[in-house]
Amino acid sequence: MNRPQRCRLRAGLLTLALCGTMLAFAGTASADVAPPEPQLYGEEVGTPGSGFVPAPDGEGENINGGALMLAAYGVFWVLILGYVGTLASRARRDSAEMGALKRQVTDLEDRLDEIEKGA
Amino acid sequence: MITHEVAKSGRWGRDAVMGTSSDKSRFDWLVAWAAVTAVGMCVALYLVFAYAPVEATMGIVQKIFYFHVPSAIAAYVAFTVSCVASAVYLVRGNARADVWARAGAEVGVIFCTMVLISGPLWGRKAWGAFWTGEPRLMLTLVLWLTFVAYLVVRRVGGPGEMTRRICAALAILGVVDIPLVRYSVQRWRGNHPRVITKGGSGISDEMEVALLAAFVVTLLLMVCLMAVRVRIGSAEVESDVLHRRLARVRRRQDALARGSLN
Repeated sequence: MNRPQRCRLRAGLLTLALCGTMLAFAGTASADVAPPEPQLYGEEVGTPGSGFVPAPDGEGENINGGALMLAAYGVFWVLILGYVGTLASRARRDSAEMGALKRQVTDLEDRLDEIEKGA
Repeated sequence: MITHEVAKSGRWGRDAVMGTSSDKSRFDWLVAWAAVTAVGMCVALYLVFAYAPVEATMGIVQKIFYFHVPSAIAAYVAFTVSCVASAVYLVRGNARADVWARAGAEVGVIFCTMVLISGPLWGRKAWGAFWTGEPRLMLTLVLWLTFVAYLVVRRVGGPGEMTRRICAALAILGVVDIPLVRYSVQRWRGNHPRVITKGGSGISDEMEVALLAAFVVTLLLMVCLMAVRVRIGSAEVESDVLHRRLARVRRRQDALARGSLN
């Protein structure tokens, strides 16, 4: 590994270590907050006398599950198609580079062989 | 080490990129695999949205589950492939193993990203919060970060042997996290639902069929993406070999030119 590569590797490792430390602190901070009680499927929530006050009609939080589902499937397809596109462009670039390199090497070798034979 | 090995037995790399007959057969195999995956994906989406019923408590958002869980399993499989290939690379210095290790890490990160995005979207409806500090979520994040670190180091470190060895060690360390993620719900109390247990699944038959289809198609997709990535990786290795060969030929040319001048 040459010097610039070593420097880049060191810089990358330092950045990762910094990010990891920040995330570890963030994780510790969020772990201090008590998580909500686990909710089991089919279990009745908010039974009488449990201490919860019902919201007035129409004022309860209404999370749009359809939008969340669409967002999740949208992300799934964007990631897959984006990755497939990246792979396709890499394959095209590699194929072009390989073709050019192979031609260059073959031409040079043929020319050198001819020169050596002539000599 | 890699160059030596590819030079010695570099048929796989050359075939992958040079347009030989075996390349054509490999391409056909990949196209057939991709076609089966595409058809399977259509069937799975039909089963998820038209065949499986809407869940009573959570409603439509539960449909996320059908690709969230299989994506997690696909990520575990891809990371395990990366780990095994990394171990083989560390022991034998096998170039093909290194290509598989990188492909596994890359594809695994894609599926793990899906898990980390779709999970919080489901959690917003089910728990009322995008993220909680519960063990499975944090351990999955750690797993994702480990393999993102793998890819970052591979990119910034260049193609050197030391970079490959550091990354191989990172992949092996990262996979230690998978059993912790898997059993975190059983060992430590958390919010994550346990739908599929040893006693069977807690879902209806229609939901089970849809989940099974999603599992199969997600694994087919994972294998397909990994096969394409391995093919590109082998082309990159072969490109390195050609660059070295070109440098050798140029040195020979220089030597000839000096000889003719003298």
